[in-house]
Amino acid sequence: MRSGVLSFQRNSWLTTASILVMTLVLTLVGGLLFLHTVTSTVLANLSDKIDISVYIKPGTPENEILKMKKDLLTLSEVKDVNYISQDDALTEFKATHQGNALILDSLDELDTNPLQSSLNIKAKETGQFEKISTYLSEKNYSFVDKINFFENRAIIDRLAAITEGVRSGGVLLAVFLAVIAMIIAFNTIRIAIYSNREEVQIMKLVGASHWYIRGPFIVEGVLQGVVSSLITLAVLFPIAAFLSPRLGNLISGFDLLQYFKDNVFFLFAILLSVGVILGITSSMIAIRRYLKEV
Amino acid sequence: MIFFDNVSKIYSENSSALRGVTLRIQPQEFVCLVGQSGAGKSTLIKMLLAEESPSAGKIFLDGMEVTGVGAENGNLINIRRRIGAIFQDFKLLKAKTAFENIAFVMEACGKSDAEIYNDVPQILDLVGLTPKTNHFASELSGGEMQRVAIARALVNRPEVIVADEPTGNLDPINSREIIGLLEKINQLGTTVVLATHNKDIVDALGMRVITMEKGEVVRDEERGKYIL
Repeated sequence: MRSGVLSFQRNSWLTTASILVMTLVLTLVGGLLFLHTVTSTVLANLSDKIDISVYIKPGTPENEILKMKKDLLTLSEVKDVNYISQDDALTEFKATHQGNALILDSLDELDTNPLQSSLNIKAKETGQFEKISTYLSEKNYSFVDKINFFENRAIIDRLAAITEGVRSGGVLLAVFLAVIAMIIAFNTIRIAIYSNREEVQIMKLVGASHWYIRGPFIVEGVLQGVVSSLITLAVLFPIAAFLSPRLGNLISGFDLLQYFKDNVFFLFAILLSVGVILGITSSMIAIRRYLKEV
Repeated sequence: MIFFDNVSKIYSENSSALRGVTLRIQPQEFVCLVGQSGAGKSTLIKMLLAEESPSAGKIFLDGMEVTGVGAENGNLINIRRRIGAIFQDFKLLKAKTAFENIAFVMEACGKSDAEIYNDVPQILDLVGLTPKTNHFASELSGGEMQRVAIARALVNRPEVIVADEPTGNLDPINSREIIGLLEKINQLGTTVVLATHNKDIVDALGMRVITMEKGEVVRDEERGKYIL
């Protein structure tokens, strides 16, 4: 322990290089966590905007419609069903076209409400709309006039594909970048240990056990991981503060800085774990080669 | 007792470092291994430290076979703790102080902090380096570095000290002081094996001299001289 701490302090150049590379790796890990949060929020917002609208024939008793809503809510794929009565639809329509006198006057000319009541169905996942629409087709409700999923199907399918693409592409990119970064960090630590090979050789010549030789390098790896994760956290804070208002303009209701503040301990735990594991593993693998020699 | 039993080291058909070496070194002896560069002195010492293994023959240290111990073998650690080694290039840890260079060997052998803080100042005093206790190895002169190396080799009270050209990088005054220290260590009961090609030192010592030539022992005299 004492040797590891001393070596950490005295090998200042090597320690600095290792910490810098490890900080880059951890900043990348932090950036990927941010990216995951941003894409998840964008996709959640997008998914929230997609729904299936089931238009009901005029004159259908409300209890029939509510029974259909209840049936739909029992499906595991359904997140929510919103019933919009004819009156609600009319109020909403008027509010939307408030400034258009021609449309509002035309409505007043009519004796009856021309709008249909509807059920807006939201799915838990965008890919589940197909199952819901199949369910509706099989049930063949006599009072259903039309289902707009079939009209919007192409758009919904495309959005589902994009959603999946972004998710799996993101994961692949994250894994790819993380592997490259870890290889770089591993090699930096290997070089640091290579420069200490004489020290390892001397320790072996005086009869030090393998664990005694490994000890200081492992302690150094742990310290590098701890310092790197603290620096990374300090680097990510201004990045989050800088990006937060810009992302807020693009994604309504999203505050990256607030996310950072709310999850700072979780982020630190992840960065610390990655840093310490990377430090220990690299040290153990790198030193193994020198310990094998007699 | 150290026993080399018909030991050979052959690298290829045309290249061999040792050929059929058989010799015994008794406890508390002071033995000089002499010979020109390439005679096989360093190979012999490396084999005793299990840094190299022989192509044929066996080596024993107090009945324990040194030959063929691997890196993972606990015997290797045991052997190296029983032999204190001194080298021409000192092999000190540059980023450690004189105190730390000696202390880490005790630490590696599981000695307590109390023992370390008691023994290291004593051994530094023995080699005349008390004023340099907290100096880094890189701040010491050649003679001082070799004294730290001697202190390090001695601190765990080994049965044998092997010194491979310990005065090779030192001036005559420092050389005499280092050899004086080795004599003192020997008088305290430790076996000393000194590999050197310094004629003045060997002749002045008047101890057992084993002369090597082309990997073979060509002369072994009780109170010998450097004759090549």
